[in-house]
Parts: sequence; C-alpha cells; structure tokens
Amino acid sequence: MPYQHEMTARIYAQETDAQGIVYHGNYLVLAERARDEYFRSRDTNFVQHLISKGLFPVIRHADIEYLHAARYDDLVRIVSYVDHIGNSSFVMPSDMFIGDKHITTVKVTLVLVNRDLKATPLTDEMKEFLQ
Amino acid sequence: MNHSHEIIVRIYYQDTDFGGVVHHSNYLSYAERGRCEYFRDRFGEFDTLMRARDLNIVARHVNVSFHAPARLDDQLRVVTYVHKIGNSSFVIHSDMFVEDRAIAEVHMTGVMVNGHFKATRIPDDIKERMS
Repeated sequence: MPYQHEMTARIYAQETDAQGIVYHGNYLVLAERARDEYFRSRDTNFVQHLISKGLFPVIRHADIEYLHAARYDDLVRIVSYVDHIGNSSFVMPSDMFIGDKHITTVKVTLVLVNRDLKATPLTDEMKEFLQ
Repeated sequence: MNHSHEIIVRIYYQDTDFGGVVHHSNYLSYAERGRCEYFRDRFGEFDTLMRARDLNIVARHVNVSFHAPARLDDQLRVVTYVHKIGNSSFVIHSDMFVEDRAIAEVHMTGVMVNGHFKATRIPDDIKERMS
C-alpha cells in the first residue's frame, strides 16, 4: 500500500462556471495543490530541494475522469499517492470525493527534467522517497 | 477529414507560472476556447440552440499530452476537430502549436446531457454538422 495523503478543499464561486458546477479545468488545479501538500507532508522541502539542484518535475501527461460534478460550497476530499515509478518519471493519481461519492480522478505523469528540459533519471534516493 | 477550426491564443503573464512557462491547467481553457469557436463556426449561436432544446454538454474524460512548453508572448495555434461521434458522446481533439512546434494535445470526451444532467442522444442534425 503506497503512502497516501489526504486534504480537503472547499469549493468557492471562482471555481465554478455558468453550468453551476466546478469548471472542468479547475480539477487540475485542485490536484496540483493536493500533490504539493503530499510532498510537503513527507518532506517540507522536497520540491524546493529539487529546484535547488536545477531539477524540475514537469507534467508530461494528464488524464481526468469526471464521474460527478462538484458545486459551490462542497468540501472535496482529495487523496493523492504515487502508483508507478519509472526511470525518470512517476505517476500520481489524485482521487476526489464528496462524502463517500467518488467524483473525479486526476492522474498525472510527472517527468524529472533539468534546466534544458531534458529528462533526467530519478536518483535511488528519490525513488525511495516516492515509495 | 472532418472539418477543423483554428484559433490563435496569445500567451500573457496570467497564463504563466514561476517556472516561466504556461501553467498546465491553462491548456484546458485554450482547448475550450477552441471548441467553442469550432461550434460557433459550425452552428452560429450554439449555446442558444442548446438552451432551446434544454441540452448541455459536459466533460466526461479529458486526456492531455504535454509535448513542449509555451511561453510568454507566444501565439498558440489551437486546431480543433471532432475525432469520433457516438450515440450520446463524442471525442474532440485540440492540437496546439507554436509555429510548427507541437505544444500540447487535449482530447475531450463530451457527453450530451438533458436539463437533469442525464446522458441523452445527440440530435441527428447536430451530429451531422459535427462530422
């Protein structure tokens, strides 16, 4: 069982659109917050640590499954974890719930790159960290 | 070849993040603008037409591949076309370029829903014009 991190996000008006529901693009932003808090919960400086070495985790691919809509005032629970570790990339799903109802999953593939945006292998230390 | 439609999106500071590139979530908005202009091009006032029939389109699935980053001042060319049409759903692609460089591809599965957000058949006349 991989390490999981959970956070809750309140839905504000700015996240909704005229359809009365959360704008579909905003789930990527919610997932990003959740991933960031995942890293912070394990090591306060993980992302900053990478950046200081000239390394950046960038998104190569995102897959979003929309099952139900979230609305203004909803409290969305976001569960993030790592489910695949490759040579220079890793996959992080963020499952989102309202109560027990699964509403969305955002799954991103992140690649570690250097300043020239060239993929760089994850070190053993990083791989261990992501387990 | 299905009908395709092109728009140009200029990249401003608000589109970028501290990495110096366009924030990944923004590509979903550019894809949406491309889709809306595609529908306007095919149907005129598409929203009015949909509202008159108490129909709506919601996103069921979105798949994004990020090939290269777009940056401040870039003119992003968004090419939109319908890839597949089913009974109540369709897949629409948005291919994005800066000059000839591929930047991102957004594939969205949209579902036709009624006023209660229940999936419903895509009317024949709409289907016909989306090919």
